[in-house]
Amino acid sequence: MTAQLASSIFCVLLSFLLAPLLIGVINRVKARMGGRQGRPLLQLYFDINKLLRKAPVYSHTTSWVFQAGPMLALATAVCAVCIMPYSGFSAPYAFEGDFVMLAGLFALGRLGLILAALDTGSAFEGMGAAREALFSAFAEPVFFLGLAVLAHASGSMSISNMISSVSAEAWSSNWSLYLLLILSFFLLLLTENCRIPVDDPNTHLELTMIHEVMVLDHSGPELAFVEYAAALKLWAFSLLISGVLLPLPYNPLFTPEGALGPYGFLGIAVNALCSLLVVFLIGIFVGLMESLMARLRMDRVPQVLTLAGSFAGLAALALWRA
Amino acid sequence: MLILYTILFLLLGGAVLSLLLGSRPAALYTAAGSVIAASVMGFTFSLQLLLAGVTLSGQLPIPLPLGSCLFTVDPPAAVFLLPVFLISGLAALILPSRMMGLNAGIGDQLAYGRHCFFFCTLVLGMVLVLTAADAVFFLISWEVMSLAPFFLLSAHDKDGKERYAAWIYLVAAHLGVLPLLMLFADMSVEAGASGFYALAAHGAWKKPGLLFVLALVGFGVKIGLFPLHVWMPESYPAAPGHVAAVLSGAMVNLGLYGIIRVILLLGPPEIWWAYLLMAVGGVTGVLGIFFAMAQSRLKRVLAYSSAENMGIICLALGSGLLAMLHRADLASVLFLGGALLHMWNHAVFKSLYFIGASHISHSTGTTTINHLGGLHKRMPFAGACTAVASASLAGAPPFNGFMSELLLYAGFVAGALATAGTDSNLLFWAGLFTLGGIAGFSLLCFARVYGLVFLGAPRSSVVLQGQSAGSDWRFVMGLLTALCLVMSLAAPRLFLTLQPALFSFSANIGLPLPLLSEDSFAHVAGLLGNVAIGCVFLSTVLLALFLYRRSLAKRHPAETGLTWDCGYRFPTARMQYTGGGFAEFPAGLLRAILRPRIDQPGLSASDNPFPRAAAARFESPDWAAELWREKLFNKISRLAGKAKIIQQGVVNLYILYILVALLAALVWALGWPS
Repeated sequence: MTAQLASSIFCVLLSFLLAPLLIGVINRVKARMGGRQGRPLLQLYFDINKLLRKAPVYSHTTSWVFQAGPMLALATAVCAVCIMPYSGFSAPYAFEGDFVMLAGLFALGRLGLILAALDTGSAFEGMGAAREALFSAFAEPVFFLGLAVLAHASGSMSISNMISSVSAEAWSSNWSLYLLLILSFFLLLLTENCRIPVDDPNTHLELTMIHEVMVLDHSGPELAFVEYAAALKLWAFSLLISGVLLPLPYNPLFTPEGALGPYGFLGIAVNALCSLLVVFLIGIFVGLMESLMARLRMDRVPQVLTLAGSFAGLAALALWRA
Repeated sequence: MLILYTILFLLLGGAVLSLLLGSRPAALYTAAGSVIAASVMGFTFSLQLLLAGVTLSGQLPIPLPLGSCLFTVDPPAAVFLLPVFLISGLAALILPSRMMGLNAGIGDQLAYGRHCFFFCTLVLGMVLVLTAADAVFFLISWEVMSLAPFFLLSAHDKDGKERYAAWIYLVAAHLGVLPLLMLFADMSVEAGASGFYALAAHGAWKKPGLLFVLALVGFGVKIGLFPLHVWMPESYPAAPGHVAAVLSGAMVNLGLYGIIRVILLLGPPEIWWAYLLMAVGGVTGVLGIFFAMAQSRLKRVLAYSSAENMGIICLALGSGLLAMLHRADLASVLFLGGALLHMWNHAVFKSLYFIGASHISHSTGTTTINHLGGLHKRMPFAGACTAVASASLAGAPPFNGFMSELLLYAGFVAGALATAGTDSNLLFWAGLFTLGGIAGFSLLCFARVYGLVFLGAPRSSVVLQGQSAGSDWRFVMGLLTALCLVMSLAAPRLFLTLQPALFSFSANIGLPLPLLSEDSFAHVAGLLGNVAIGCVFLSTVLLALFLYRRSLAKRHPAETGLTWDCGYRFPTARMQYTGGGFAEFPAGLLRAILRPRIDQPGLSASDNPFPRAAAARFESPDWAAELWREKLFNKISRLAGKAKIIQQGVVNLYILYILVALLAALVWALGWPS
């Protein structure tokens, strides 16, 4: 077990541990902006713990698909976090072409939740499933385009290499490309993780729900799986944005064989802390956006996705002419 | 070659024997037996050929009016032969029970013998098309293959709609042969011989671009390229399960084989061929999935989705040509290998879906999505198999659809990297975007179809007639489902099996070598291997979660109740989302492309104070079919109507016509200078 692999696995375990804290940070920011004290930062941990110890209630209409959906969502989110690297590290499951695997895993998780929602035979959940399917159908090509632009800019097809190529030198020579990519990925984060302005994670009104309404009938451990999977997915997207955002100077942390490099444990700690800091800053920013904006009308949401696509397309053009 | 002749003889023998046996059930078993035997032999034969990478040739001393009975099985043909044999064999397994089941509800004697004769002829025609090495022989086999489904589709010829479906199929098949006739006639006249070897050895063609376009149009009708796809949504729903599986899983690939063969015969491809293939493939894929999303009947969705997948393969083929022309080695391997792998995968999951859909339509009597729902409680096995097919079609890991689409995505990125700074770079970006859009919408489409048909509560009482499939159907569906998973995990090995075919393609295409390298293949196989490991890891995590869930369930057993639905206490099945409801928002957003017809009556002032009953209608017609009908067929039929004046029904007039014709012939024979 090389030092590189050990630190990658450590980073993944850190992600599993800290993902619910990100949701807590977002909720605390929203509460403070609203003049309230807000729930504890660790509330999602308490919720998941409580839900795991409850007995679920299933509807007569549902079947094995209803129970399989949340498990699929969580399994794919876990695997997705194993593909996402921290800045300067490489993910434990990294290979050339893993960006397609990432998109495919998200698609599978989404498919599981959509089918679980349709399994309940309720109009509400069908509505959520239809909306979620449509918005992610628009988001998918944009996601691929953004990742492909990043692959082209870094010359490699592995997300770990893509992120480690985003250094201060790359930023200074091609800042417009990375800025456009960040904007595009941020809008995708809002869409895929059901944040304002695409969806409101707090309300339970028909007009304003997509993800929340899909998981209305889940209870007990299934709901725990769904909530934790949502936290992991948000963490994965935030890691992606933090990877593109952090202009750390190119300091190899490991030797080509995988042993500890010239910067030792201090370098590893600094890199990991910087990534975590930027992830939580993204969380704070999302919280601010949720507090200062209202959710868009439903037929404006494709315009948000078109905007994300335009940013990615402009990034591709910036690369073409570079 | 002896094996090939044996296969052909088996199929021909099965056809004739079952025709002689007439309406007896023994005809069904004879045909099924001969097709299964031929398929088993053929599958092993083609697999051996492909693995060895050799080309076999032969000739039968059967006199043809033009050309000769030349056979060649080379690696590209072997690649296409494998799904033909697999799907035909599996379809033949369910042929007896399907045909006997058809008779059970109708009461009139269906001509089993006739159906089996044409089924064997269809398989025979497909094998002949793939192994023919002579242009005239190819055309004859193409005709045989195209005509046979007409008779298979008209099993219920008392039903007007089924007659119409068979009729549309016949018209499309024949109109498609016309460009092929022109193409092969031109090529044979120019080269002086009609054998494929002679055509390949011919140097530079006078108008290769025109020949390529003729091939694209002629074979495009069979593939379902837009706007030539209009026969598919009408014909596929009318076909019984086994026929639909063969049509969509095996026959549609032959159009691809035709295009590949013509590209190989025409010498070095020009760059606009790649552009054209990419454009046509992209448009077909996008429009196919948009139309599929808005259909209200299950089999029509599957037909449009076949067109969409063929569009993806054409897009991949065009991109592969473009990569080859730019000498981008890795990208070419990824595209061409991905196209062929996607063809194999599509054969498996599409025929699985059609067999499942046929089972539904057979037991419940309908495939309208708005009448179904909650079917998986009535047919759990078919439901599970269709779930796997839906996930594969949507391109979700760990199934095989994801593997081939992965190759295409990686190909687009590799191609963009290899052509950095040129205009083709933008084309690869556009292709990636198109493929991503198609994949996203196919997830929407198949989540809709599977969710509304199998999940939820029954929307009408026909669902209660649904029943589990018989053991032969279960075997076939189970085998295809297992293949979906196995082909995904064994994707590296499958990809390496395609290697001889790709090398043969690159060797004969006429561009200066070397075009593909061994370590690109190793690289791609490594990529697929990593993804397969990831799929195994995903399954492990899923299994761990499942065991954890079970241990939790033991401690806190579940209760059952009504669907909570945010607190509404009286849910009914009619409150569920319908097919139209699911598709309404996307169809509305894409209304410029889809042109749906939405008929929503508003309230009028005369409805004071209580509004009367009204009806809303949401329809998504195929505007390409309507355009063909208006601009071409209706005009021709009007012209033909005017020509009816010749037919007065008076014998004296007809004798006058004969007299006039004879006089004209006499004048011509005597007065024309020789």
